[in-house]
Amino acid sequence: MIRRSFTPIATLPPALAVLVFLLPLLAPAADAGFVTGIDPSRTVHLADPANNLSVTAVVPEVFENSIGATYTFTLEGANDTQAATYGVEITVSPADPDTHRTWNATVSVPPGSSTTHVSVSIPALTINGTQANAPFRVALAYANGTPADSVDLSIDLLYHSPPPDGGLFQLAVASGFFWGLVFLYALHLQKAQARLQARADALEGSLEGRSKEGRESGENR
Amino acid sequence: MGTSPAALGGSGLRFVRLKRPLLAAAAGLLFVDLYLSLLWVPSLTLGFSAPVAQRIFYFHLGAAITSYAAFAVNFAASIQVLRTGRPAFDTLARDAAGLALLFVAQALIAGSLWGWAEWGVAWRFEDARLDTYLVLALVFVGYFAARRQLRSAEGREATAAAYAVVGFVLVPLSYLSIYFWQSLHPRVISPGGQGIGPEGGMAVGLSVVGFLLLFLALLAWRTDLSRLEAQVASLQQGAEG
Repeated sequence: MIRRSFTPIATLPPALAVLVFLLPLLAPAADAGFVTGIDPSRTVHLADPANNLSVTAVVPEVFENSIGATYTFTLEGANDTQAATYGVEITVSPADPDTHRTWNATVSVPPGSSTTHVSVSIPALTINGTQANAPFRVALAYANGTPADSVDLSIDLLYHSPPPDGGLFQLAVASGFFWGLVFLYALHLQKAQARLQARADALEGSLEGRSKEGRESGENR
Repeated sequence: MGTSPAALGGSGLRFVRLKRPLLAAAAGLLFVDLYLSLLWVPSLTLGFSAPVAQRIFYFHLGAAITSYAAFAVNFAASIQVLRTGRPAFDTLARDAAGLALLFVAQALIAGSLWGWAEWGVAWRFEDARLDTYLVLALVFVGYFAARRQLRSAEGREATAAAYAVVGFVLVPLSYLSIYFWQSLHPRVISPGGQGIGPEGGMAVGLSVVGFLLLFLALLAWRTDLSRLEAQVASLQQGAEG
């Protein structure tokens, strides 16, 4: 049996493993925004602890310019939540005054335990340019505009430049393919019909000839 | 080998006789629709980065809806095969499925060309509508492969019919997929969609009617061919006998 001496460094990997395991438990308290999950279910968590309100919104890691995006915020009140009006806001490049863009919506939360939804949409074709890890902020604000909570994260902006001809080439190919396919199929049916008709006529002729021969040989006998 | 439409009764023969009027009506409607779709309807610029390619939608939708209708005919005929065992319904099911694949090919290619212009890629595998529609197409390609494999096997009609009935489940699944799952496929005329305006509505309505008539015309033509195939087979037997 081999006996190994104990070295303190050997405790490092298990300690790291325990730390990694405990990391989610060390997440910020509910009064500060945080992010959980990974794409496409990456979820932003915001809160107004003074009113016992929690807010979540799914924010995928990619925004496609050609499609746009709708972010749905879910506001959950507890038994002691008071009726209040909030603003929810999403901001692209919050620190850059040149490219900074904001979209927001207002929502009223009823008193007591409840779930309220509100959506903020970034329409298609509004953010130009492809940028990986663009700064992105999701925020909750009181009715007077005072920030209640926010979280900063990043998003990949994908921009597909529109075709210069507006897609005329694709339209032409699609139209040609469409009618070409119908034409070829009709041609195939036409040819098959002609072939079958010729075969039927030949067989009928051969049968008629045979019956005529039979009749003649009968008469001769 | 096909089975005569006469085996379907007088309605089969009447349907075959409608081939030419149906073809003429479909050609007329689709010609008018081509003008409306390509030139008359105003471009939809809101929400589209390729407004010219967006016009593909007007015939893409007609082909897609007609493919669903053709699958429905295949489904109804397959049910009749299982119920009655009459080979004429098997022929009808086969012809409807073949035409369904023709319209599927049109819808898929046109949709991919639109995606190429609008999204920059022809296909997006994360899209539920695209994927379910492609699976539907592949299932019915498999339907023909199975028929070919079972060409001389006993009970081929019933097996093919059962396969088609099960495969038909994918039709409502494909249609409703944009409501069940996250989908990039545009919702243009669906509830909550962005709408296409009265001119667009007219073009798309005409397209759907035109494609449905084209399907009926081609089905009548195909049924007529089946009649000829049956006639040739019977004459062949007479000549050999």
